[in-house]
Parts: sequence; C-alpha cells; structure tokens
Amino acid sequence: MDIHDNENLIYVNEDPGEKRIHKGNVVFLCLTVCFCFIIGVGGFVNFIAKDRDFSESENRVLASFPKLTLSSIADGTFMKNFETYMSDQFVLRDRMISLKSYFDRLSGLRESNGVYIADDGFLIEKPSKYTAKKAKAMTKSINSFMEKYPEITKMVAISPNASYIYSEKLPSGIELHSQYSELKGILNRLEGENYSFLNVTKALKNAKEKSDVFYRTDHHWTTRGAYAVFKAIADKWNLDRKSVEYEFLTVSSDFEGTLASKTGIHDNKDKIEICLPENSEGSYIVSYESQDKRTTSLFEPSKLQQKNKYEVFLGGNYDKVVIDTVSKSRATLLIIKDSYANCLIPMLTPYFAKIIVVDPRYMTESVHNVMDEYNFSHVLFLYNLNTFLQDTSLEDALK
Amino acid sequence: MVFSSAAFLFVFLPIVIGLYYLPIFRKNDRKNFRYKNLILCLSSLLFYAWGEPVYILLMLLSIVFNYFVGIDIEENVLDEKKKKTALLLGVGFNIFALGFFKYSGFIVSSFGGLFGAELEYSPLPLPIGISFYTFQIMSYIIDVYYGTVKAQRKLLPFMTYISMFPQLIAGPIVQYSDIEEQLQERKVNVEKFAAGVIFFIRGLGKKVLFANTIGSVYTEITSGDIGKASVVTAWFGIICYTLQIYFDFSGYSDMAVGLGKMFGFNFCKNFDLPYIATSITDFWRRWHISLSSWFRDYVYIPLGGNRVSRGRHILNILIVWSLTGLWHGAAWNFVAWGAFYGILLILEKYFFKNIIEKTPMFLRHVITLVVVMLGWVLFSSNTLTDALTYMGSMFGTAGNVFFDSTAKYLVSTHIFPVVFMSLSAFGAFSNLPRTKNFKVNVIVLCAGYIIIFCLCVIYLISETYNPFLYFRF
Repeated sequence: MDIHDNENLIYVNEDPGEKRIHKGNVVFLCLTVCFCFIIGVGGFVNFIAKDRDFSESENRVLASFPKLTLSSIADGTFMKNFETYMSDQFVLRDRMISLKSYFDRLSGLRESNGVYIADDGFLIEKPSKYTAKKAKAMTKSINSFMEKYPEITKMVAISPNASYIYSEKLPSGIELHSQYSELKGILNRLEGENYSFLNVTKALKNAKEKSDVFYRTDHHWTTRGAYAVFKAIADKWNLDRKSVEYEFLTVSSDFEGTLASKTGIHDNKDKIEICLPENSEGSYIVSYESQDKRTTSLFEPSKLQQKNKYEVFLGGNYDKVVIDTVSKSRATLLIIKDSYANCLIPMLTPYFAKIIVVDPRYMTESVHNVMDEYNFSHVLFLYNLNTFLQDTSLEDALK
Repeated sequence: MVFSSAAFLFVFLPIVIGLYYLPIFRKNDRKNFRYKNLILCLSSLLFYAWGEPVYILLMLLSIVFNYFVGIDIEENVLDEKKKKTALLLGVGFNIFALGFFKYSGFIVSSFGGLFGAELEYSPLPLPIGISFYTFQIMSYIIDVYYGTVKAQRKLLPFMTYISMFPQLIAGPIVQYSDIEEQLQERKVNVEKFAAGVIFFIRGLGKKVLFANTIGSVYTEITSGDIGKASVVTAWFGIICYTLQIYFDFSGYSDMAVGLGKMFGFNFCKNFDLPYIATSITDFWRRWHISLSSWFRDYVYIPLGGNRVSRGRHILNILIVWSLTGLWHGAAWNFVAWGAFYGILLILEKYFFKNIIEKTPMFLRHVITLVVVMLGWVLFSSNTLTDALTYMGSMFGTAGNVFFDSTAKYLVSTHIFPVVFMSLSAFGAFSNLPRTKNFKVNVIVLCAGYIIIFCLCVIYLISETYNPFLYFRF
C-alpha cells in the first residue's frame, strides 16, 4: 500500500486480507470525508460569512474583496489582495490568533513581534539600537538650536524605557546595553549656558518601588512615572511644587496598549490615571491651531472609548498645541516632545502662564518660527530614548 | 499561491477536487481521464498564472516547443544525425531559458569580477518553478531520444505532466518515464485519496507547525555579529536551520505527493529521513531523492558514471556535484556547497572506505550530521567569508566564548520545539504505538490528522497577524 512509502502512520494491516481491506476502508473513507468536509464547508462558511470592515484587536481596516480588473490581474495585485482578503476575513481569525500566541508561550517562546514577554505580565518593547553616530547627529542639532537662545532657561530630559527600568523582569538571558550609559553619552555631548541636562533614570527607578512607572501593556510611562520625572524637572528649575497639591484620578482600568496589540497577548489590562494640580481643571484654554479647535481641558475623555486610551492625554499628538493657563507666573514654556510628555504636561500648568507644545514629528515649520512668535522664558526638550534614537524629524525641525 | 495559504486550502483546492470528482459515478474510462486531465491542466495553469501572470507565457511556450521537439526526435528515429540535432535544439532551448532567467545575473557579475569590472546589470525576476519544470521537460526529451519512452502525441497529457500544480513550483522532479502510464489511466479511489490527505496534512504540518516556527532563530543569529557569537549560539543556530530546511522542503514535497495522490498520481518519495543517514552517500540517497536521481540519470551516467578510469570518475563526480550546487541557486556559495559534497563523496568512495566501515554506527551518524550541518552553513551564507566566519564561531577559533546570555536565552526559549522536531526528524514518531482495538485506532488516526490540520490553519492564519500600530504617533 502506498501509505507505507514513508512513515508508518496509518493503521492498516501490512498483509491485507479481504476483511482487513474492508476495515481499512473505514479509515480511508473517514479521513477523506473529514478532510473534504473541512475544506469544503470551511470555504463555504468563509464565503457566506459577513465581511468585517475593521478589526478591533489589530486596530486596522481589514482587506475587502479586491476589484477585478484586467490590469490588477496582469500585475498580480488582484491575486495578492485576494490572498490577503481570505486570511483577513477568515472566520474566527481573532480567536485563532490568541490561541496561537497561547501555544507560543506554552512552547517557551518569550518574545513576539519585537516585544519581550516579561515577568509579572509586563510586555516590554525591545530598545532601539544606540549608535554613536546617531547620538552625535542629534545632540549636534540640539546644541546648535539651543545656542541661539542663550538667555532662555533650557533643559533636555530624556527618559529611558521599560526595557531598562524593568530589566529585571526581562526573560532570563536577555542582556541589553545599559540605557543609563547611553543617556549619559548623549547628555555629555550637550553644552551651553542656562542649560540643564536631566537623566531621569534615578527618579524613575526610585518611583518604581511604590507603583508601576511603565504600563504593562503599553510602551509609555504611567502617570506615576511621569510624576516622578516632573518632580525632578521642577526641582531642577526650582519650581515651588510643594505649594501645589496633586491629585491622581483613575479614568480607565481596562487599557490594553500597543504592546498588547503587537504581541496579541490580552491577559492583562492597565489602569490609566490622570494627575491634576488642585483646582486646575477648567482653568485653561487649549488651542489646537492646525485643527482649528479649542477646549478647556487637557484631557479628551472621548478617547477612553477607543482602543488607544493613552490619547486621553491632550487628545493624542498634534504639531502644535497652545495652552493658556490662569497661573500667576509670567513664565512661558516651550516643550519640544514626543508622546511621553502628553501625560506630564498638566503637572506643569501651575507654573507657566503659557505653554506651547510642539511635536517635531508632525511639524512642517521650523521650531525657530515658534521661538520668534512667542517670548519664551523656558524651553524643555522631553523625549524617550527609543523615539530619540529613531527620530528622523527633529534635525529638520531644529534647522 | 502557496499550499499553506487560506486561499489555496479553502477556495482553490475544494473547487478543483469538486470538479475533478464531479463525474463520480462514471466509469474510470479513457474519456473520464481526459476530463480529469483537462480539469487538472486548466487548474494548474490557473495556479501558475496566479503567481506568475506574465511568465505563464514562457511556460506555455516551453511546453509547446518541447512537445514538438519530442515528436520531432521520434519522427527521425532512423536518422541519427537529425535526431541528435532535434535533441540538441531542445536541450539547448531549455538550458538557454533556464540560464537566461536564473543565471544571467550570476554570469555577468562573475565575468565582471574576473575582469575587475563592475557591470551594471539588473537580472529579471526568476520565474517560479522554472528549475523544476525545465528539468522535467529535459527528462522527457532525453528519454525520447534514448527511446526509453514514446513521444507524447497528445498535447493535453503532456501539458498536464509539465504544469501539474502539486509539484510545479517546488518539486519533486517527476521523470516522465515514471508517470507516462498514469497520464493515460490511473487508479483513483478512496484509499489513495485518504493516503493523499495523510501525506498532505503531514507536509502542511512540517511546513507550518515546524519549519515556520523555528525559522526566526537562525535569521536572528546571523543578523547579528556572528563572528562574536558564542559556540553554543552558533551550534544552536545551525541546528535550527538544519531542522527548518528539512521540514520546509520535505514538508513541501509531502504536500505535493499528497496532492498527487488525491488526483490519483503516485510520485516518488523525495525524502527518506535524511538525518538518520550514516554516511554522506547515504544522506544523498535520502535527501531530495528526485534531484539526485535526475542528475544521476541525465548527467552522471551519460558522462560514463563509474565505468571509467578513476581520474575520470572523480572528475564526473565533481561535475555532477558542482552542477547540483548551482541548481540550488545562482551564487558561488551554492557551487561551493555542491563541490563540498562532491569532494566528500570522493573521499568516502576512494580514501576512507575502510575506515568508515570500521567506525561504529553511532559515531558515523554523528559525523555525518555534523558534516551536513557544516554544509548548511555554506548553503545559507551569502558569501564564503560569512560561511567561514560562522564555522569559526562554531569551533571557537576566534576566541569565542563557549556560552553566553544570548545562548541561554535562545536555548531556553526554543528547546522544547527543537527537541520535538529533532525526534521527529530522526523518525521517532514513525511507528506510533497502536491499540488492538481497530475502532480506537481509526478514531485516533482521523482525529489526530484533523487536529493537526486545524492547528495548521490556526498557525497560518496567525502568520498574517498584522496589527496597525499607532506606535510612532
């Protein structure tokens, strides 16, 4: 019998007598029917099942049935898109994906899609690669920007990432280059008057004893982490932070961040807190100039209904946000930042009459124009190391 | 379209099987097989056009041309000279097509290197499966020339033979003589179909559950600074690659054999537990059998085989194995890989024969495996320098540490699948225990394969997991 060709996995008698053959047929029939049933019915069910437009768990629009045209056939795009369509719209797709990620972990795998599956439910993104060349280029452009404004009080604060702060939770055997020394290498290259360089590693390490300073399912720091960094910034600038009370409020306890999406692991949920200086809410005007939008809140509660709940802070990232506060201070602050800053900015509002927030990744104009437009007393440059090392927009924006 | 895709498994395959077995209650006479061949041929052309909407013209041209070459050779059976001209024309055409599409870039850059010139040349993309179907066609016209098979006068069976989708894009290389009769008439029954299902699911499992899950380890190791890798890392990496390439390739062959059986064809087996080989000669009797047989029948034997002087025999072996290497890819590392095996086979045949016979089996097995793994280093490296660097790390020649944290991490996170797959590659699951109760066996068997199939579907759907990340926003 053919089946004996390779490996003897099928249970047929080696010397088939009449009866045995008959019995063997049951096996054959059974398998044939099962297989044809699965592919036939599977295909049919997929055919009649209603297509989904959007995948909540993958946060993207799923492929729809591709348009059939002569040119799309000739260049093969129809075929490619059809295959994507089939797998995107496959019934029980989400279930299959979480089952697979469960099997992966069962088999001992500790990383997925560039994310480490760390202890205590922490998902930790692999850090960006540090190169001296990149550090040199970035610090050079910051230096040449800052030296044009010698009288303004300036600070550069760069945060390490969870992969460093929570390195003890990484799977055993993972040894990463120390972000602390990378940060030191970067900050040592900065120079200028009225200028401070803040390595916030220690502040975060101390704070993590009391509460999570990074989300378990997202790549951002938590509001508690941001608060620790805020304190370090305030102390460096001698802001009278003792005179203001800060209150933490939980606004969501079912946050599943980007790292949960990336890995497909949905075992844990994070809580999102917001941090408010006392009596502050409603006491500012927040203008999103490019959006032609004004509000009186630094938070966007509607974002708590969507997947990326971190956008509750400032409504996400925009090129330029102008915050006018009721602070009695006369100081004005420019923050050049990435998304880490979004949850920290509310903490700074009692000390500045005006805060301008720019995100170079979304800016088309030069930051110098913003500098000319306002009369700043302070400039804060706030980034996290992963974004800093991958950044491609800052050098242009600072030119 | 690859076999391990939802579009193939749940759209293409059920439709083709449905059409193929539509006249299920009709007698399996010639007419019925003409219908079956027609369905198979059309679906194969669709299958090929699916991946290569343009190059299908090349394949059709090749089929039609060689169809006439075959007839032409047979027509001139009495005129040795004309017969030879027709053969040379056919072989020349095939080698030219293969050479033009597969090797032109390699030839240009090698010549450029020879004369110290950097030639600007961007080769055309390689038509899928051209190495496989060209070899099948050549087996046919050469056999017609030697008179071992009759020329196929009907275009449909000939076209079905060349374009048959189960083996079209990744083998096995089916020789015309093996399949000549089956093209006219073949057994199609439920036994064969079920055997096909078993082969297919086994192959799919090898590819999707085994090869695809282990593939990242070697890629990750070689993307780093391999010269500084620890000894354990280097060995673990090549073990993973060794497993991956076997399960990937033999998985694809098993799927092809399985699909062939579903349509009533028997293809020769292509892999026979190659990693249990106890010598290099033995390894090549078990690895990609259809390719070694092709080179044996159409290159080695025509060159005189071993019935020549010792020096000529050694030369023959070297020619055959350099070509075998080159067949795998248009780059020098493949030639080196082929020559590596050529030299080893010569050594085994002429110099170490007595020593090998005295060596205990276990040791022979270990040595063979190590040599094969070193071969895979050559095979997988982009340049010879990379290969030597990798081998250096395996033996710690650059002062590599024996064990480090990377090794600890890689081994600890992959040890279960690697052990399981190794056992499987050594044939540990080939004879599973069975109970005396026939019914239980039937249920276990069916359930087992169906579960494996479902797992494969889960895995291959998950591979397309593609979260959109508001990540850098």
